[in-house]
Amino acid sequence: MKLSALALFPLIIGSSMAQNVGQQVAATDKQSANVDLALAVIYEQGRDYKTAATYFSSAAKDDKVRGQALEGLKRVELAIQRDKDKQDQEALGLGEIYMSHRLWSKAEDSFKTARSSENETIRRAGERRLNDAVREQAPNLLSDLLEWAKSIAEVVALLLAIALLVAYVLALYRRRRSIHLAPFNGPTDDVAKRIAFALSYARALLQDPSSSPGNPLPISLTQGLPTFDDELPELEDLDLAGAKLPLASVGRLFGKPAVTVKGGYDADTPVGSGYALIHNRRSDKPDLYRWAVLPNSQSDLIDFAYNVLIEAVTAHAS
Amino acid sequence: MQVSNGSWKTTNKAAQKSFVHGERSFRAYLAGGNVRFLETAKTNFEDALRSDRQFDLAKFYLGVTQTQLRETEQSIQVFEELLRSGKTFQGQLGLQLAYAHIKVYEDAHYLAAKSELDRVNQLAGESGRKDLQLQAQALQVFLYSVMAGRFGDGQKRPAEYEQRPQYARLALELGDEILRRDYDLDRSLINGALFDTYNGLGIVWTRIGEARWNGFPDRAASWAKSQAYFDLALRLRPNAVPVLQNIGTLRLAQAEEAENERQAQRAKLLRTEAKELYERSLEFNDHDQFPFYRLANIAVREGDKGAALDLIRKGKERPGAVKAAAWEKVLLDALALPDPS
Repeated sequence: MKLSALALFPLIIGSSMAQNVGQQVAATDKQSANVDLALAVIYEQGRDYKTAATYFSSAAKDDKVRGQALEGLKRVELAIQRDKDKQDQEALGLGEIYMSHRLWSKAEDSFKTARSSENETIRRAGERRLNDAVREQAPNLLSDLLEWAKSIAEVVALLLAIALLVAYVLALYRRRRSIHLAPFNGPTDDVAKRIAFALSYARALLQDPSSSPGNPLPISLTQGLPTFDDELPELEDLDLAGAKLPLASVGRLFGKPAVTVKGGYDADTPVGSGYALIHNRRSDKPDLYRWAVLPNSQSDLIDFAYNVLIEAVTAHAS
Repeated sequence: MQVSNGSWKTTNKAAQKSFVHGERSFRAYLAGGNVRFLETAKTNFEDALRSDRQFDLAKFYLGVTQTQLRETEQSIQVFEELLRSGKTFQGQLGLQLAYAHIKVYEDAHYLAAKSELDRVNQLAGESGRKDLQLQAQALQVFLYSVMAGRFGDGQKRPAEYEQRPQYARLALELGDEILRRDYDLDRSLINGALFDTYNGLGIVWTRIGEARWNGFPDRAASWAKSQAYFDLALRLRPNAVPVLQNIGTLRLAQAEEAENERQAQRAKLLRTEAKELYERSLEFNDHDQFPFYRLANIAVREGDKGAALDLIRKGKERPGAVKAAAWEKVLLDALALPDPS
């Protein structure tokens, strides 16, 4: 039975269902080779080269249309290859795009697709670009590491700045509660040094008189003497942790000690005179104190130092 | 051990200021400063109390300074008032009261000090206050060493006088117990108590050597032990004035023995050593008359009239416990010396 390909045309145009129906018709009804050939051409025109190849192969069994069928088969096989090459080329191009955006994993996948092409040119290009992609990833790890380290350093710097600010504020607060003891004057450097030593020594002994060799009492009696919570604040120097920072002027303005002590000793003979100017921050003017100090008497000088410190601490407690 | 009484026990600013001035002045005195600091401290504490009668801490310190100024009658009264009002200052009040009794140097007061220290010791033991117990026991060693040399009188109170060896033994037993014990306390507190114990044992062995009581080692051995304990005390606190002066006393006792055995040269060397020790003690604290008194006696012994009179003059300008009769004797002895040529 001869069937017209045209009669079958509405059934098979542009649909996979039609394709399936067409295959079933060719396989089961054993239509003539002419029909297979016609169907192959139709599929070829519709760019369904794989189905067209199937029909061309079927048509090629008949001697009458073998020549046309084989030609058609060759055409569609070339077309299939062309399509494949085009896809492989597109994969190569896509890989380049991924490379430019540093999407290494996706680039590798695209180049691997190109590398598996039957087209030698595309295959070689895919191989080469795949190697390039692998190579370019290594330096990227280093720059990522550097970026990460930079972020960490920024965080640490910020924390340090906050810590420094807090420390500075605490130092200012402590300074405002402190007693500042300026270097005392003397007629010579030697006298000035002796005064400095006496003040330092007296201060140490005042903090722990039990340990003094001059303590006349049993230590068990003096160690347990009750005291009060507001212990002697540390005597501060002028230098502050933040003095070298731009905030130094702020420190001088707001970090004035609670009590400032200045003074000197004239080492005069037969009886010298030691003095101290003690200024409480809350007062308008300082208080002047004077004591007689025998020259060349270490005990008198130490007593002078005790007097200075006692008045300074008392002023602080006022 | 620093015991805090919490925040200021007064809200009165004038009282606060006076107290701070007084407390620091007292510290200056303890550190070896002039006795004027002690007098200033007392004045400040009195001012603080005038501003605030309820300022117990100032009252306590007033008592402490009065003891040092040998106004022991007043200080004992102050301490007993505080005790009656329930204050203890963590047991320190009992210790100060006992010490005030000791400084009276009378038998009844020695016994009162003993009772007080026994009480503090017992309370400390009951409340688990090992620190306070140690301090009380160290003071007891000191008390027993004083009683071993001063309790009773051979003429007027012979019964008490006969008890001196007993107190010497008590000092030795308690001292040995303190030294044998392990402590889980602050190191500075332990060292303080050990210092007082070594000093006390040194004193009592000096007394034992002088007295030659039955049942004790002989004089040489006793004085060797005395020196050993004083050395241990100096190791803890180099140049501690009380110990230097106690060793000076030991040297003078040894010099007297040498004189009795007609070893004049050795006696002279021992007196020279005693003199150096007293002079060294003056470098750290020259505000007590006792070393001046001893040095004046040595100068008299050496025949140095000028030095003796100078030392007597300086010594009498300073506060202390040397009796007027003792000063008078050394002055007469010095005046009896020939004038230097």
